[in-house]
Formats: sequence, structure tokens, C-alpha cells
Amino acid sequence: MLLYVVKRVIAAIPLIFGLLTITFFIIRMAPGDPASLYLQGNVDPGIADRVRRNFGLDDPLPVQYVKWLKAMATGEFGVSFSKHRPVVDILADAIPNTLILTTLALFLNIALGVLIGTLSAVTRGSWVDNITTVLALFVYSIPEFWLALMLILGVSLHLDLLPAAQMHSPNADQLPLIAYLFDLAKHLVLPVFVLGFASAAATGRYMRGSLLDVIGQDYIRTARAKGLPEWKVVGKHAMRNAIIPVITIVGLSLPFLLGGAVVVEAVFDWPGMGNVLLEAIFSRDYPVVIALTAVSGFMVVLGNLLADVLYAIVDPRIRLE
Amino acid sequence: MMKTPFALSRFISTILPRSMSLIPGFGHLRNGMVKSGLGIFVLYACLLLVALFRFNLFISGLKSFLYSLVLLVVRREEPMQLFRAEIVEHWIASLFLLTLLIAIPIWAYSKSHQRRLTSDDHAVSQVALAWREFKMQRVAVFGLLTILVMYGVALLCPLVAPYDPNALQDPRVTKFQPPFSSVRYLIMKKPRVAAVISSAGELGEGFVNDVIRRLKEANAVLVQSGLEHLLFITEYHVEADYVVATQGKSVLRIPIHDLRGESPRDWEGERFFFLGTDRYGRDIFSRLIYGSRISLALGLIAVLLAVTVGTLVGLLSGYFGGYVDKSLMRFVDVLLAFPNLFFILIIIALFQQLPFPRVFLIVAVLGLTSWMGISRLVRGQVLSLKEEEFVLAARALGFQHKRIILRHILPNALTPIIVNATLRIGGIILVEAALSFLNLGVEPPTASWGNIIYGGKDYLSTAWWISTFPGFAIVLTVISFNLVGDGLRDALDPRIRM
Repeated sequence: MLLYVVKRVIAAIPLIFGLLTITFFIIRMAPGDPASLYLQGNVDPGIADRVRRNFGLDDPLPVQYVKWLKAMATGEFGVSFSKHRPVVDILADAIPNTLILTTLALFLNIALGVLIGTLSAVTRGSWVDNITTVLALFVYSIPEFWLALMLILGVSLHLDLLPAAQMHSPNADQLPLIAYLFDLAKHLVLPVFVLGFASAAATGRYMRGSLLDVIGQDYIRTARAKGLPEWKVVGKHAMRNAIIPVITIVGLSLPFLLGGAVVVEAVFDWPGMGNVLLEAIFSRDYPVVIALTAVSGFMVVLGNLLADVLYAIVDPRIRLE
Repeated sequence: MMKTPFALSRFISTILPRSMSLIPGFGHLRNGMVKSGLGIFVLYACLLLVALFRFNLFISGLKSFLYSLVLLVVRREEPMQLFRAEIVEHWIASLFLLTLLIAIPIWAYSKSHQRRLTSDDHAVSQVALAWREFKMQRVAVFGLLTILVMYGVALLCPLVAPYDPNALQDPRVTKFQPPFSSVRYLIMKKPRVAAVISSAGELGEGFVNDVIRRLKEANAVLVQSGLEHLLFITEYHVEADYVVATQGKSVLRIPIHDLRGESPRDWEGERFFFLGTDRYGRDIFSRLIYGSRISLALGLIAVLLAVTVGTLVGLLSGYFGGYVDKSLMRFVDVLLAFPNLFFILIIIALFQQLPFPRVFLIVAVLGLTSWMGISRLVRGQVLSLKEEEFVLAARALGFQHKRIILRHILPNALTPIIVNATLRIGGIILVEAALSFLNLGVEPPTASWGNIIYGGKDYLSTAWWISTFPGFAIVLTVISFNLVGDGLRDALDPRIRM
């Protein structure tokens, strides 16, 4: 098992390397002088030259490339233009906020997806199955941001049940811990629902297909022949195996823990990575944009790695390859 | 198939004389294809209605196109200034409408007089077979029809859209009108902009000048509808030589001779807003129609781009194997490692200072970030096809790689590519809408479904309709593409057909 993990980690290294390389070239391909990325407005040419020297932009390209790799590896992302804080600090603030949101959404996705998929597979061909099929297609085609807006319109504005934006109420700092958490939970409901619900439709489809494959197998017939009750056949024998491919799919969506919530964060004004990115884009805060590219790419590779390992834990055959 | 019972079919063909089958759709009805017949008839009737209601625009569009063509032939240097986007838009709409009006009756007539294929026909092409299979799936056909109608409307948008999507006219009165509301207006005598195109008088005699004059007249009609000076008001009454009109809280006194015509019948009117207006008083329905062009065109072009690149990479990678394969697939892995929307946003942010409209950047980025899946798919197909005997035979005959790839492998790998591309369009339309919603998509004032929603998101509590309706349009489009994709997959997959 350990050997397998080590192998996977080694395989991920060139991926990160490639990722950083592509990022470097994308940034260099962008129109205009790279120094102008670090400068705003019209500045004295002398200053521009100094910046160029400071950032090593007058070095030959290969040297710059090596320096870039080094800076990324050591996490030297510079200082944000618009907030005048180190980029690392900004990211450190935003990442936990995004993780709360997306982790909960992922759980909702799996729980709801497996439930719907199982229900749909067990009642195959019935009206329950048909309705879930149509619903899944429908949900799959709804733009997330629009669903979010409609929920805000209905739940927050008309019914006034849940807050429409932000992570905390304005006075949240003075609340006792329980009330603070309750306040946070209330703010989480809508964004988590939007994020989890749409992906649950896809997960449910996979679960249904996978469970239908498994239910046709001989050992399921054996289990039935033993006289096991149906819930036990499905719940214990079929689902365990059916869930394996679903885990891969969910594992592949692990990267979206960090990058997948941009739109939803924007609608709900959630202070996470997505909003940091959008703010940085609109204020032309290039150090932040570049750091986010590198970090999110790194997280994707990490997510893939995690999915691989998870897969190996669930399905022992993988390890033996 | 869509056959009605024999008796009904007989009945219809007795009550409809043979000559009636010249009317589009009636031929199908006589042959007993009631649904297709009715569909064709309704479609044609709608097109005729559009042509009638917008007769002036329709004819002027055709005229403008013809004269421009003549000018282009006669004089090379001049007409370049004629190619203005809003005029070309009208040309496309008018020409498309004309083509449809002519082609549909001919097609319907020849179709209904054709010998119909039966299931024991042997010489049926793959395409015909797949189409027959596809037609069995009702929802997929429904999706296809929806898409076709949407593309039709998008092409015809200057003729179909009730008003100019970008006209800002008296926002004080017209802004935030709820759906199904109407606002009254007074028509002023002077056009809004003192006739941009009416320098016709100074032209001399001669054929060319005559053509130019006529062209200018035609173009004036096309543009005029947007130039008419309307004064939107809450209410008004006549006081001696003046009209006293109120716009919200302010009161205007307008001399009657500034208004068009003599009596209230000439100068007053009412504008009906089917889906309401936005914060600038622009008609949401017209903006939806114009906005459809962005989503539909962008989705299609981006997918074509993705399919081209993906197929190319997949073919090369699968066919040549070895180092080509390894390096290309590593590259694909790396690109797949970027989180999609994040990546797209970053590229758009870095490249947003380009000297051309952002639409092109978005098409390029959307196309170039979604080909990886297709290339993996194609590669898999090629790997298995490569081992087939017909490819071995082609190789044994000494054909070049190019010929083997293009003539023997690609056609056999086409089915999954088509299905995948159709299913991908929906996703791309969703991403485009998300970009527009984040205000990083198509630049306003150009309407796109995403930026209409963006424009309404701050007014959810007071004007819910702005953000609501474009969402329905997006959902309908994406669902339709997904339905067609599913239908195609089922129709083209021989395993299911067996």
C-alpha cells in the first residue's frame, strides 16, 4: 500500500512541474510587457526598469523560468496590489472558508447522489425511476448561479428564512459559540445546497448505472437465493461494490473543493478563494491571480492523488497492478 | 412512425383535394403524417406572419442586400463603409426568411410525393438508418425541434424581436416594468438622431448614384425603426396648443406641432412589454431574443473548435503511439489538472487587454479548454480501430498514413465524437452564461443571457423578472442539447439498435 502511494506521489511530480510551466508561459504570453502586470497605470519609465530588475525580468528567459519555479516552490507569491498584504496571508484567510463550503457540499453530493441513485436503480422502470431521471436531467441543465439567485429570491427575500449573502451576520463576533455556529450554519445552507444539489444529479446517475450493473451479477442472485431480505441484498451486497466507480467520480471532483465554487461564492458573497480570484481579476491584482493559479493547480494534483489512493483503499485489485 | 390509422388517413385525403398539397404541410396530411404535416403548416404560417408583420423591414433588408451586391460589383472601393453590423444583421435575417419561405414548400411537396421507405428497404444509408432510429425517441425529437426553432429565431432576430434590445428611451418611465405591462408614448415629429443616412440629395445622376440612393433609402428604413423619437410618459392631456405630459414626477409641456400628425391618434401609442423591462427600460423579451445569438453561436463554435483540436490530438496520439502518444497524453493530463472555470477566468483576466472584442477570446478559451476529453475518447477509439482488419488491409496496400487516418479510421470514430460534441454544447453554454454572469463574458450593452441575469441580480427583491426569464431560456437550451445528445447516442449506438 505504502509503495503504491509513493509511486503515485512520484508520478504527480511531473504533473505539478508541467502545470507550473504552462502557467509560466500563459503569463508570458499575455499581451504587454510582463512588468506592466506588476505596475498599475502610467508610471515613470525609471520605476518600470527598477521593477523589471527587481522581478528579474531582464534575465534571459530560461533563467527567469528557473527563478519562477523556485519562487512557486517556496511559496513566495509577493504582495497584493490592492490590499497591500502578502498574498500568502490572503490565501490563508480564504482557503478555510472555501473548504467549509465545498466539503459540506461534497458530503451532500455523495449522500444525496447515492440515495437517489439507489432509489432509482431499485425501482427501475417505475414512475419513481422516471421522475428521478427527468429531474436529474433538469437539475443538470440548471446554471448554478441562477439556481442560487432563485433560491435567494424565494427562501431569503420572500420567505425570509435564511440569510442571502455573506458568511456571518454583522454582529456575529459578539455571539456565544453555539449561537455563532448556528449563525454560520444558517449562512451555509443555501450555498451548500446549490453546490451539492447540482452535482448530486450526476452522482446519482452514476450510482444508478453502477448499481444496475452489480444487481445483474451472480453473487446477488446467490444472496437472494439464500433468502436474504431485499434491503440487505441491496444495502450490504450490491451497494458496496456499486459504490466503487462512484468513488472515482467523486474523487475526480475533489479538485473542485477549491476551484469549483467560484460562481456560488460570487452569488452568496462568500469570502473564499473564488471571491478572492474575482476581486483580484477586477482590480488587476496580478500577484494574487498568479498565486491562485499555482495553488489551485497544485490542489488539483493533490486531489487526483487523493482520489487514486482512495480508490486503492476501496478496491484492492488496483494496488496489485 | 407517425402514422395515423388508415381510416383517418383516408378521411383526410378525401377532404383535402390534391391541389391542396401545394400548401406546405397539407401534402404530409394527405399522406397520413398528421403530426409532421401540422408542424410544417404551423411553422410556415408563423414565418408568413413574420414576413407580413415586418414586411417593410423584410423587403428593405432584401433591397439593401441586393443594392450592396450591385455596388460591390460596380464599384470596389466604396461599399466597405456599408458593412455595418446592424445592417448585415438585417441582410442575414431577410435572406434567411426568404430562403425558408421558398424552400419549405418545395421540400414539403417533394417529400410528401416521395415513395416512403419501408423497413425492408435494403439500400438505406447509415445516416437514414440513424435518423429513423432517432425519430423513435420523442423527447430527443422535441429537443431537436426546440434547438432548430431557437437557431431560427436567432438568425431572424431583427425581424422577430419586437423592439431594439439596446434602446434607452426615457428610463424614468420605462424602467422596471413588470411582465405584461405597457407604457404609453408620444411620437415626436423629429427623428431622434437627425437622419444619419439621408445625404441622398447631393448625389448626381447616373446608374451608380441611383443605386447608392436606393441603398441609402433601404438602409434608412432598417435603421429608422430604432431612430424614431418616442417620448414615454405616464399620462398626458391636451391644453390648447400644448400637450401636458407627466413622466413620473416631472411634467413636460410640448407644443402640439412638435408631435407627429394632427390628432391624438397620430401621435400616441402604447408599447407592450411581454417579459418586462430592466433597469434601463430595455425590453427583456427583445434582449432574450438577441442574447440567444451569443449563447447559441458561441456554444456551437467553441464545440467545433474543441472537436477539431481534440480529434486531431486523439488521432495523432492513438495512431502513432510511442513518444507522440506519451507526450501528448501527458500534456492532456496537465491541462486536465487545471480546475476548469478557475483556469478560464484566469486566462480571460490575463488576456483581457486584447485589441478585439472579448467574444473572440471567450470562444477561443472555451474551445481550447474543453478538447481534452474528446482527445482521450478519440485516442481510445483509434487504438481499437488500428487493430481492425480493414486498417491492416489498407496498410498492406501501402496507403499513406494520412489516407489511412482520414479515410479509414476517422469515419469509424465519428459516432462517439458527434455524441460527445452534442452533449458538450450544453456544458459550454452553461460556462459562457457563468462568465457573463461574473461580468467577464460578453461586454455590455450586447445582450447575452448571462449578463441579463447579472444585470438583474441586484434588483431581485423589486424586479424579479429580470433575472428569472433568461434562466429559463438557458435551462431550456441546455436540456434540449442534452436530450438530442442522449437521443443521438441511442440512435447511433449499434449495440442498442440490435
